[in-house]
Amino acid sequence: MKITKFDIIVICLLIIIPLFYIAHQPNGNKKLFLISGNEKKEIQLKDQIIKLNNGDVVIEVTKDGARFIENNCPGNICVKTGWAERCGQTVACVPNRLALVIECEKEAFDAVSR
Amino acid sequence: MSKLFSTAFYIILALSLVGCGEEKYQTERFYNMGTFVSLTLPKTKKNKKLTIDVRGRIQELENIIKKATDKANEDKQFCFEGIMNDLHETGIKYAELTDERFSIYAYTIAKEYGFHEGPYRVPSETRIKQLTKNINNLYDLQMDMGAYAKGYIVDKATDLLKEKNVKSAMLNAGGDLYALGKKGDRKWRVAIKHPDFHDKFLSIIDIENIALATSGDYERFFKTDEGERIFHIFDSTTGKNPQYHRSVSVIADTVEEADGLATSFFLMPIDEIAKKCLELKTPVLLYNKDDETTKLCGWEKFENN
Repeated sequence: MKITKFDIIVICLLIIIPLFYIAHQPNGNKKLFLISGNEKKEIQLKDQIIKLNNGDVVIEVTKDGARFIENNCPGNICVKTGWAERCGQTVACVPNRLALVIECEKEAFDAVSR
Repeated sequence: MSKLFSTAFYIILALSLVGCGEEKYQTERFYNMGTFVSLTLPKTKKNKKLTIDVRGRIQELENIIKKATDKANEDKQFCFEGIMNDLHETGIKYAELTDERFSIYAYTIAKEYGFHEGPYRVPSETRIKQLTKNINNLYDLQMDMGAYAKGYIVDKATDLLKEKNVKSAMLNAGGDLYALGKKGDRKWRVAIKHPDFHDKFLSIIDIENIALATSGDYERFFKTDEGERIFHIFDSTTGKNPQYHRSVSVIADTVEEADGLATSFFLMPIDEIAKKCLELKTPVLLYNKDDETTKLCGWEKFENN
């Protein structure tokens, strides 16, 4: 049997294409969600400021993640928590039932116990 | 088509199909029991409806417990029936385990500090002494079974999943969770959060058909003017926060047990925990103020590294 040039090109393509595909899906696409009580709303990951509850709650969003910069809940733990940036990360303000969640197609953990 | 070409084609085809065999999962998040609950299930239409049912069961139990708790605290009558009686018995078990440091009536003190919703303040020493005395004499009490009621509810919701023949699910109520079956062909992977850093974890474990719960000083707390951290767990014999640990995680058969033991162990020194976790066969992970992590009763066996 003789291997033609064409065979080699096809074989190379068949190997390279799947590898390329596998290499380019590290996290899937990262999505930011704002959970407010029972509602879940997707927020675009781009530079923006979101105000809620008549300005009592202020959320800063960038292309990488989001954080609460103002919040009127006691203890203000969610503001101190800082950024939600990585897959599966949640910043929650429990007293006023708000949370920022980063979801990815492939996450490092199925859950975080805290 | 040459033979080599067709062989290569089939090999590549087979390889690319391996990736497609992975089952797709979906996570729904909702607010219940004073925390964000997440339920991860294989992505099917049937499971979408099931999520609603699970939430219904959680809501129903939460309402029963909340209503009974509010009524008991208002009337100062602590005679319980039904679910509340079961929960009360569980509370007695943990009180015995901790030499009365754990008490469902520790809420008498926690409330005085402003938990759960604030405004927060530190009561005077005299007042704290008075309240611990009251708990000891079962006088003028406030009750809260929150230390393990959440776990109890997650167990009941997990029972519903099992009744509906679900073989794979993760139900997580703010870190108190149950891992049902496996996720596809591997175990569920869970990280234990470091109290101070978002990107650090105390441990990463792989679990299957088992429960996990964590109690910490870093989720519900306030800081005094002097910078002291006051958190939501109180020793009912001293009226103060226990200082042994910053984070306690427990693996157990049920979430109620994991949840109750995480709080109970928070009130106990390491040597006492080491004895108890052997008896109870519950792996434990501890983290303290000196940045030391301690693994007891077979915790390491669950770690994947």
